[in-house]
Amino acid sequence: MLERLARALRGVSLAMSIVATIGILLAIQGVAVMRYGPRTLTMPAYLPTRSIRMVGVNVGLDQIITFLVALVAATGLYLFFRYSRMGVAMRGVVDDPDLLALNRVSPVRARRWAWFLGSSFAALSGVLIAPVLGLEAFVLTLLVVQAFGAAAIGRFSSLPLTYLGGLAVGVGASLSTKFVASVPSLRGLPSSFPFLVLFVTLLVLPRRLLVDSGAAVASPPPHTHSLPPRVARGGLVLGAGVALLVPWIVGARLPVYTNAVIYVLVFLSLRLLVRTSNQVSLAHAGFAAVGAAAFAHFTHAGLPWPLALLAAGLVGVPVGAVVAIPAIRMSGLYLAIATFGFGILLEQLIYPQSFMFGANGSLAVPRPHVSGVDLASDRGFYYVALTVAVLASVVVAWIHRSRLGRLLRGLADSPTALATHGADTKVTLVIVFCISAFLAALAGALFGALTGSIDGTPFGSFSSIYWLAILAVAGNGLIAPAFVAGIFIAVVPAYITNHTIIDLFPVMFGMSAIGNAIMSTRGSPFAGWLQGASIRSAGRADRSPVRDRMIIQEVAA
Amino acid sequence: MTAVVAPPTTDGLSVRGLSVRFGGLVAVDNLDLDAPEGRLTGLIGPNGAGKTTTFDACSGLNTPSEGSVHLFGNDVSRLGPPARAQRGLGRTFQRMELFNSLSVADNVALGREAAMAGSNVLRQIVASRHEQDEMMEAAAGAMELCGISDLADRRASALSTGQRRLVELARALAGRFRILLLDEPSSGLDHNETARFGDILERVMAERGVGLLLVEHDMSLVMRVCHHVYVLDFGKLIFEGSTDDIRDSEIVRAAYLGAEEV
Ligand SMILES: Nc1ncnc2c1ncn2[C@@H]1O[C@H](COP(=O)(O)OP(=O)(O)O)[C@@H](O)[C@H]1O
Ligand SMILES: [Mg+2]
Repeated sequence: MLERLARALRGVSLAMSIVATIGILLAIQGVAVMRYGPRTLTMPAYLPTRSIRMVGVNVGLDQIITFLVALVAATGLYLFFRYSRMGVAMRGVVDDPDLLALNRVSPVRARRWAWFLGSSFAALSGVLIAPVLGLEAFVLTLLVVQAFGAAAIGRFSSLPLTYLGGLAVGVGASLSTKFVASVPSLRGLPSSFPFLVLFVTLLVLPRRLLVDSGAAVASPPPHTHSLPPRVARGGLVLGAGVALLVPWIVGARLPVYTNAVIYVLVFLSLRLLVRTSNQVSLAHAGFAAVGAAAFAHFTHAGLPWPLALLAAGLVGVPVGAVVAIPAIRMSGLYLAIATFGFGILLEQLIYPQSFMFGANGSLAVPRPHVSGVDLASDRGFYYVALTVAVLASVVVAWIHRSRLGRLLRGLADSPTALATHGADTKVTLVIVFCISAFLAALAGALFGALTGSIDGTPFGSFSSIYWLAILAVAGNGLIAPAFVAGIFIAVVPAYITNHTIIDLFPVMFGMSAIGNAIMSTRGSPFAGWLQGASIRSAGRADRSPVRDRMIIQEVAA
Repeated sequence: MTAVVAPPTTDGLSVRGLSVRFGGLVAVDNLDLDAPEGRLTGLIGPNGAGKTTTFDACSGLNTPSEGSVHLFGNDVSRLGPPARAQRGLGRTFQRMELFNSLSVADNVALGREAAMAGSNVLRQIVASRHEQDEMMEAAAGAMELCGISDLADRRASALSTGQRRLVELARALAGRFRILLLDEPSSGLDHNETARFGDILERVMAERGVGLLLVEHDMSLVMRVCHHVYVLDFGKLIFEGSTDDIRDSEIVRAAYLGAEEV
């Protein structure tokens, strides 16, 4: 089944294939949570737990067995890839499926085998790990990200090195536990150690290892709706009218709507990064957290409210620039993993620090006060948030029409062409990540003001994944999808009291994200037909060498 | 018996002692090559000879293991692709690197605008009125030269291969490049389209006076337009000379015929 999906996703733009991957993740995780509940299932230890002494350390028998099973599995894989026909074919399918097909090896079969092997090894490691960690969907997902750290050490190509990398990560994490016992501010280090390894390794690996092979050939979806301007303008006026009237309609649920309006900033920020520029960031919750914390500190320091808001956004900018570094060096899945690793690092190492959410882990955040004008009530603050969201929409729309907008769309289609025509794409990337982080940090600050106090919980690293999936299902336009997504994430759940349905949400978003990503290449039937036509004519590009030679002989004659 | 290598030319692109390795494979082996301004230079050879790899090395897309690249007498070996483009080196791609979601006009205009944006943060964000006008003018001129003005509003992804090749050429012509590297610009074109393409190349030479380095499989096109031709085989330069010399060369014919048996 996963092979089918992988095939359907060939030729989808890089960012959209990440979105689909995330969709799968959310869907499976959601199903698991619904079936088994969010709590950890414990699993009885099924291996003997007696321990024996080895070179002065107590080692559990179960651990030794696990170690051996892993070693055997790794060796088996190594031999398989090295010597079997199918193993070689599987490596070939990564490089060039069409070439493989020429050699009468079915790429479909090879890919199916790859998924089969991958899934069974994942299941095997799950079985081995379960007695140690317990069964919890989130933890197991994190484990996969950690495993990428090991794979990165193996440079994504050497199995023996990967095995050693896995060992090193595990040992390093345990050692850091000891080390940290004496330095309380580094409490988060042991659990974040694998992510640290991952992030750093990805940063130092040679760049050519980090370019997704089999990169997208098909074009991303059209960038603008083809709505007639009259309809678009009508929609805008209607939307604005509704937005202005909301506080008088919805009664006590107003904060929910304010929340939605704040989310608009998050989604505008993601829209610019993911759909316009074909980049990925799974560290957005981190940007928002940094903005929220900075805002709390600035207001406490006595900065006027609007200035503090602006300053909080600006604090997000350098964080965005840091995330731009992996974006310069890698794309697609690697970028997604690196930014996700960075988000987890922030969450586990930085959030607990007192300079973030204070010594108690929570800070009070004020709303604006202007004498004579009511801005601090729920109603007043809704308008404050709406104003910021509208301003941000105007800015994003302006960016799209500016030179930066053209560069970003060029970046999405062909960074190479942009660079060979004289634009420094590193600068472009840093700019877009900074703008994106700025918007997300603004959102974080406003979230704090909405709830009155702020801590790390709303900004868990998994939120970033959820946000991206929701953006993917919210439509293709520029500004409107940000509002739609805001309503999806904040308003809709408030009206649904049935818990089963709420639990179903991630599954639904996950599924539709997959669907949307696949559809993004199809577009209208007409576009599909055109694409087919261009592919057919491209077929002629492969002119036969025989004809070349005939020509040269003709000329020579 | 080592031949004395001439110093890099000051009036165009020069490659000296260039080698590019991919693992154990030597894709380009100790290559010397000149492509002066105002002339049409050919670079031919069988598939896999290392032509595209040579282009990539010239424009800074790969890391040569040895050798240097010079532009108008300056060593640019350590500069990135944007900096080399800023110094007058443009190119097209064998696999066509168009901005597929943009219109033809935007594609071509970006060919000029990318260079205006450069590496300056402010200039990447906003365009001055003056620059906007200059860009539009350059794009209109380039589309006119390539005969694709009527396609201006079409999406690049919706065009035929032949049209896409022309869009890519127009995009490069919209920039202020003095040397252009064209990688198999006629592949995927039919006979008539190729003949038209030859006309366009000759017009470009006459009106712009740029230097062209042309990788091309269509020998009749090469023989028609090129002044000087380099022949690569397995990464090595096996022949260099005028088109007349090529016609008479046994070595070249052997290289092409030799490939037939494989
Ligand atoms: N990125 C790469 N990695 C490994 N080998 C490559 C790469 N690019 C090209 N090659 C190899 O280098 C040789 C020259 O390729 P190329 O320059 O594309 O040839 P041409 O353009 O003359 O057809 C070929 O054998 C090709 O397989
Ligand atoms: Mg080539």
